[in-house]
Amino acid sequence: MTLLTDAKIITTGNSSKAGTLYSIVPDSGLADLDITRATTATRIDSAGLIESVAINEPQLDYSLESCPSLLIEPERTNLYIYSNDYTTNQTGTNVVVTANAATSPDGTANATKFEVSSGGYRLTWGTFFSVSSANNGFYTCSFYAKNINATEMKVGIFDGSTFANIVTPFSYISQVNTSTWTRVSFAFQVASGTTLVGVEVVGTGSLGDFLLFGHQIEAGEWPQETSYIPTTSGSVTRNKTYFSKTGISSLTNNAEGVLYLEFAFLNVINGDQQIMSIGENSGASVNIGRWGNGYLGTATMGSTNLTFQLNFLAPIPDLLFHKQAIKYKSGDTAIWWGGVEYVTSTTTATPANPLDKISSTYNGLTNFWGFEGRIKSIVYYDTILTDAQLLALTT
Amino acid sequence: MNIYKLQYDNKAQADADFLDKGVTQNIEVEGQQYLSNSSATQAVVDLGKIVKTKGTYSPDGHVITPPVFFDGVFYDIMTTEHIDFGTHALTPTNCVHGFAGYSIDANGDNVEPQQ
Repeated sequence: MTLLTDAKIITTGNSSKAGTLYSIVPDSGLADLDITRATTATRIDSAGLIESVAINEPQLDYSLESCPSLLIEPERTNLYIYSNDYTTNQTGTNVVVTANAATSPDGTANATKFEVSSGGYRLTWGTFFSVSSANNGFYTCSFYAKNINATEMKVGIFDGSTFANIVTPFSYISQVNTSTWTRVSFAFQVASGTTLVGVEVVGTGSLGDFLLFGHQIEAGEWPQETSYIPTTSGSVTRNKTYFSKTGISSLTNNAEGVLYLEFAFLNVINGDQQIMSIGENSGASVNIGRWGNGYLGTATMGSTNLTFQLNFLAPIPDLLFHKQAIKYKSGDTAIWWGGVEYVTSTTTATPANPLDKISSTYNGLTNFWGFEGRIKSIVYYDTILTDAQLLALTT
Repeated sequence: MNIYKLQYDNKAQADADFLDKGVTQNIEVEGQQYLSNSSATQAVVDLGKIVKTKGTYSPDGHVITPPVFFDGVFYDIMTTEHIDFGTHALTPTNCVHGFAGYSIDANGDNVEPQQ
């Protein structure tokens, strides 16, 4: 008996088709996850290239490591029309623009070369991008850049009505190099009443030759870039991803067990709840994820929370992968994180319902408090593990 | 999949209509009331105001004529349910927004993704 052979469910970001992420255990398909995202999306593939994925196809993403993870992103809209066309709706001076000049991050020859001489700049013009003060006016601008021989590379954001700088052109040349593509990203906030913004794609002060690809401006309650959303004549929305699977009660035990997750958050901004769960009501459920600016772990039996831990602030959330487990049993419940037992509970309770569903939302509630992040693995045991096993599992 | 392109006088009117038509719903979680998308709702995209006539600008960045906006605010909804939005529903062409994998003008019931 080992941690591997004892597990009733093991799901990793390795094998999939449109609508399904296959679980390694069980091999019957009973715990294969149903993936819902009613739009296409993109991911970074094993070669490090941007690749489109089909509707409902899991984004098995290699952007952080050679080991893939299931990328679960929020709904986002790329407002930057003609996201990889630097000749339409742009103007400037002292910049020679050559489309399709080099291989881009998607592996095709569609990167654009900019040759900037003294006094050069280039900006989106005529058609600006509609913005609002929703989400507190937070936006993120991102793009891919690669230096050739430039001595300065700058980017800025301006108000599309008044032309006042929202982000004064700033240098990002220290972030990029001549051998690989780098995704440059920065957040900005628009004031109430701002309706249009433009991008100074080649910021005043830039000098020399460099390559750009794939601009994106996205609104969000937390400012950080998400996977690239290509656009042409209009803005484009990639829907939020969810996963779920019902009918798993034969694999689970509502009286005791362990739910384990190896995951990374997409942001560390104080925000809303982002949770995955086994169970779908307050009668019996186990949850892992994020609560505001901290980690979350809960286990409920009947109407009693065996543990309901919010904001365990040490460790402080970051963007790295971490391992967290909840051991649940009446009178013996604990949350383990990174090899440390952070929370224990001796509360007793009797489960009222089977654990019949696994989902990327809190208590299985559709469209509510959905998990957002990267998941390397989900593992479930139908009996509690020893402290030594939990230490090994979460270290 | 159903995609609807909608126009409202303002956000408050849109929010009320979405709740009335089941695009959103009030749910109680941990004793608190929350507004959430319904299970059929795949996306609610707030497009804000849409430019009707582009502004014109001098090369040195001065506005010659400011942009003119359509009246009201606009939303694109994706849902698995048929919803009659009445006079709020539009049938525009050359749209300013679309969903990834669908034609930018995809609109109405049972729209198919692009191949």
